[in-house]
Amino acid sequence: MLTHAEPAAHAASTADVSPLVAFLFGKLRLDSIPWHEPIIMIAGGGMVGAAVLVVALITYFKQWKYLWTEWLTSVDHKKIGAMYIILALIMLLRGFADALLMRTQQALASNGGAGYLPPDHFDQIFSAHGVIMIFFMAMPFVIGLMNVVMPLQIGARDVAFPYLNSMSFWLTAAGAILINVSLVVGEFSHAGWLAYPPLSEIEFSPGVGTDYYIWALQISGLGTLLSGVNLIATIFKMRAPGMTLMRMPVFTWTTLAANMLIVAAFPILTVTLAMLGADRYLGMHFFTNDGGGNAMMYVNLIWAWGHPEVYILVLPAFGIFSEVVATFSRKRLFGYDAMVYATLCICVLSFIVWLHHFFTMGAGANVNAFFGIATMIISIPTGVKIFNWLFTMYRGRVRLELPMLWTLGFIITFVIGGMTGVLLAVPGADYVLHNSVFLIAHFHNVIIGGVVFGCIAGLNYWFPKAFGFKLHTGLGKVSFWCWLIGFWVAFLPLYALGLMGMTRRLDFMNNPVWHVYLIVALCGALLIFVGILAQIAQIVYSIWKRDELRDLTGDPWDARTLEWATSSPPPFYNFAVVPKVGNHDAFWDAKQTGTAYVQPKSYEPIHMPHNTYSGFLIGIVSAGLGFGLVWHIWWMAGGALLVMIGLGIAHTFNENRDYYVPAEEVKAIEDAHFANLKAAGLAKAGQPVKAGK
Amino acid sequence: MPSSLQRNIKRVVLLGGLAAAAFMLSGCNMVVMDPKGPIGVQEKDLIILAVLLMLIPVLPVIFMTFWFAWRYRASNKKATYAPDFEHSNRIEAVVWAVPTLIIVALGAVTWISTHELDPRAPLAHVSQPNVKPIEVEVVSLDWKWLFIYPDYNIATVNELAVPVGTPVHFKLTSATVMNSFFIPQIGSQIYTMTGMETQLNLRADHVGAYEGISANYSGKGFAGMRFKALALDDADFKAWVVRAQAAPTPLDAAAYAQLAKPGMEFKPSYYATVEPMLFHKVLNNCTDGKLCREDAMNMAMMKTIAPDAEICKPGEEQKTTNKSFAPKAPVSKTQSVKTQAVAVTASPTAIKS
Repeated sequence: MLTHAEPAAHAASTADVSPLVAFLFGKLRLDSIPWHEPIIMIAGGGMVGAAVLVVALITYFKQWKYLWTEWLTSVDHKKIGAMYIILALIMLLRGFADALLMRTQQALASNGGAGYLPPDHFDQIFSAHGVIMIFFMAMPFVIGLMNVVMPLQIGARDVAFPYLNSMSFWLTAAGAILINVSLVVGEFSHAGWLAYPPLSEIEFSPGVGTDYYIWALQISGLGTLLSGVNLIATIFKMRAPGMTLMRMPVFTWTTLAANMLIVAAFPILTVTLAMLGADRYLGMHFFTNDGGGNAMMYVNLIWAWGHPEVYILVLPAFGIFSEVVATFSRKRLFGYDAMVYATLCICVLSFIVWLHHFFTMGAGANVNAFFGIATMIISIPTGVKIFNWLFTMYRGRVRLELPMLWTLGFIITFVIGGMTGVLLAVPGADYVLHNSVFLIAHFHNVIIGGVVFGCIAGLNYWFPKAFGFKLHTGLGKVSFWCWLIGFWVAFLPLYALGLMGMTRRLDFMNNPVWHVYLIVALCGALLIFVGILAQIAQIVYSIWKRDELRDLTGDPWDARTLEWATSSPPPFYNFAVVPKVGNHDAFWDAKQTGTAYVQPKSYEPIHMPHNTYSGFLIGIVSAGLGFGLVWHIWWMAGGALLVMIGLGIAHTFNENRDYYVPAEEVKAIEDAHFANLKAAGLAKAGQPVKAGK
Repeated sequence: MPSSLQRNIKRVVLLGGLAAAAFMLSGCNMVVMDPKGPIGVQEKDLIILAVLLMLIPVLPVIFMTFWFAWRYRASNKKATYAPDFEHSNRIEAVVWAVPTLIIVALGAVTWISTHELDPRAPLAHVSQPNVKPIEVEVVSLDWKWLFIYPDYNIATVNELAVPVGTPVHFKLTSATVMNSFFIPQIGSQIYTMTGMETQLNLRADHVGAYEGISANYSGKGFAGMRFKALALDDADFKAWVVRAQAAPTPLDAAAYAQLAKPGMEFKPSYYATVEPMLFHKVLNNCTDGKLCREDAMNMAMMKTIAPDAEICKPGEEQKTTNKSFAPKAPVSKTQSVKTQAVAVTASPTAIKS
């Protein structure tokens, strides 16, 4: 008999055990682990095996100290950014494995077969796929790139609050840890990536899945919010002298816009999930079926966060494309002012369109029409951006390097996704397309075509800046074509299936016509998988061949903005002398006027923050807090919270937070850089230039 | 490198064209593009119109992407190179004006069509002023659809039948989590939500059996939550009603309680008579005979505005003094209201039940 309730293994009751066991383990029992499900056990075993292997390798090569001092406790924005991106790539694999499982199930279970996944498992997979891809793949990727690049672009030496930055990352990582733990210990939410009540309420989801969902997002969401505050403060307070707002590179502008959205929107998510948590933990009735609850309120609130979230992801991607197009067209960005205003228009408009996610809830015609038209208006500034990228190429010298290929692939893909998006914004069309796989195809079209292509363009573009060598071009092209073609093969069939009346989240169906399309879609997904493997191969191969791919100049693409003015990888203090800025293409102008690559006569000591383990420890302990709350292990939750607060307070007593890098040390590092530049034929050493302040 | 890129681009374009052509050819399966009722037809036309309008800027953009990338490739030294060309009032005017004009046009289409296609707007007055719409009350259960025909006092599970050419007025709610009632080939979908009544007006103009689904994920049995929507001519519809009326089981409170238990039903079933005001009771969470939500709210309001008014005791007949807050129901339905036990107070605990 099918019921909403979970299998016994997932809903162990506390009634039939001794009080001590109940106290120590809350709802957690040995049979909370789904021993009988081979797919989960293999996946979990793989994850544990990989973790053991990594630990063993680190131990074997005696790298623990290096890892601890250089990475885990680092407050260097470049390293934190790199760790964000590593997290994103790992979670991309996890999320994509979910995608393949779903595509396979639908291909197998569309022609009379039952497939290989029971509904309970299938439902967890699509929920996990959405949560992982948005919160733990796209968000860390975008925030990672912002972290690595933005301070360099504005000529800063770090972000405004380096310790907070470290803590933000480790809180995000803690959320990711909780999601991965849920695979093996207990279950994940089966209520979809936004956990609509009443389905996500305790009455219909009595298991721990929704609790994992709530606490993973609460903890990582806190990290994201703090990171937003940090990056806004950095942009407003730490720009190089001369860099007025209208001289900021466009990527910095979009970073600012995205982080303002984060600060405005993430509290809504926090409150909404807190209310859902209050329903589940404290028996309240915000969104329940009875007791005066109203699920429509949740749907409104979650989308009041959820729609700006889309722009939090895509605006930085737009910034990346703006940088890439200008650099690889060897031309100033066309319509810089329009770009900035368009970004801010989108920023504001993104808050007044949320209702288009539920036109079919029965709102009146005036309301639906208002939100439909408001949504369409966003396509105006977005369209302007696309035209501006095109007119940047116009009369340029376009080099089809990897970042530019991704950008061209983006424009073609994104305009189609934008078109289907505006179509869905017409309420009358949405009445028949809502919740269909047409909608699935649409938002993958803009998120893969926009955000993912943007992130990979950014990865290829800024990798040599962060690590000092380029990524291999050939493997990068394999990856690009697999992604691009794979995307269309995977999602064109879904557009068609949506018009055939196929709705989303079906674990089985019996329709021979759909069957064919679903097999094609599976092939597309496999092609994207090859693209991801090529991506990983590209990174691994490039690390192996790094000496051949080495860039001595710090400016491998002949680029335009400040991040290219320093060495690759940049020294930990970024700039020995803070640059002065007279234009939004500051470095390009310096190269044109001959003021680039000039070594100053002398250096001054540089003020830098010390590493700290507080952020790392607070983050990791927060995973314990989440785990304790999920399983009702109150001593663990309370203890973890106390430890976190204690660590935070202890950190305030740490007086030894910063230090000065001696001028001699700076000189030694810079001399080595200028020796490289001389070898590359670029340096103009010995000319007297005053150190900037 | 550019030539290999060109080859690849050509290949992609070719593949895309082939795929698009394949989709066109298989159009007969695209139920959304092959609607069988006026709402669906209007929505199909709307989709086509919106896509055509948007192709006006989208096609040139795709073309310009290829053209500019090729024309201004770095190896083409013949092309003009203007490294500082970053602003042109004329171009800026065009790139703001073109999307704006398209959106103005599409916005007008949206405003008009959204009002025309309002799910609550009755269909009858347009072309058939004298035809009375048929009423259907829809309840989404775990994981099946209950259809109540108040005019015929019958109910069915997972089979909806309507007379062809007659407007249908649906009132919908959910006895469980959120679902979406959707017959793709007839037109608009609408959410069903507990404690909430949504409305939908549709009409089927062609005889046929269409697929009905839930279009909003509702848990484990969601994929099986399908129904047949039969559009029958008048004679067949009458026969169908008679057949349902001859069904052996009534849908009384006990049968409903059984039906509401989670599970999938793959075969349709029919009920000869229906518990009076069943839809109202589902909507107000009182199919089990407890205080209805609406009544509780009325009582609570009464307590506020007339604290000294006498409130009826459970099991008692309603007195004249408190008639003012009895549900406004048609005469035929009042009997069930009277027989129903009404709780004394409107305290929070009573509301909670």
